[in-house]
Amino acid sequence: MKKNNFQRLEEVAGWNLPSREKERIRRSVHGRISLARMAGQIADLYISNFLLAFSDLFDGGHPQDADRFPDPPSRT
Amino acid sequence: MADIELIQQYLRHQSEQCFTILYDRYVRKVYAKCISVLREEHLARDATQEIFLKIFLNLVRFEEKAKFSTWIYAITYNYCIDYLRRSKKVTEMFSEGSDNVGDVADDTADEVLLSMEIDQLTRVLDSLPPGDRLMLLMKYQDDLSIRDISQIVSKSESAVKMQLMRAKEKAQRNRLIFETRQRKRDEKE
Repeated sequence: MKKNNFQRLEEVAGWNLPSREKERIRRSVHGRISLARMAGQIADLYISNFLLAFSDLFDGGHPQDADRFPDPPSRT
Repeated sequence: MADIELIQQYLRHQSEQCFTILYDRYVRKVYAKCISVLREEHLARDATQEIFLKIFLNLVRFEEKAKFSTWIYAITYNYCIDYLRRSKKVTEMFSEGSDNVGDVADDTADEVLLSMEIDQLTRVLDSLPPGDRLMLLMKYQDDLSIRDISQIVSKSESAVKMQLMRAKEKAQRNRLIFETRQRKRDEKE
């Protein structure tokens, strides 16, 4: 396909990223994404454990809470 | 492999290979857009890095309604315009002009723009506000439709047509100014 002057401009105007820079940016982006994902997983883990540990506190105050752990039936 | 398949695989397995293929596919375009707007290599490199970070961190939000390339252009466009606004490096983001622009003038401007020599085109593009420059590049370099451009810049199709028209008018005006200056210089010599 024949390129127009705008498309040829991209090649001649020095708008190409040198391959060394391209690789550096690729590594940096991939590293930061991995780091962000790891941080997200750690945060998820801590938050879910925290919520689990203190779920009673958050659930408290409801009238039906009194019946959540009923006394065991007495042996007769 | 199509973009969407690569995205799905990347999201499922976080494979570095899919990441690299997608990155290689678009890095040249993203960098070219950044350098054409930001004008400095180090700024364009930093911008490319930040744009790809945004793209991959937000990949789960990508909806198949739009093409992946359009979504990438939108992120690139918004990043560059935001950067210029924040840094206050430019006073005029888009050229302003009259609201009455006809279709005949549009065709003429197309011809004039597409017949320019590379040197002349570079000079003319450099003389335009960055928003105009980006719009012209999306239209003539990337061959994007008015609809795609309107999605990228979050404007209506008629607003995009109008902005393109103004950009072309300004480009044509600036070209004439450059030609007159050159002629005067040649006459002196």
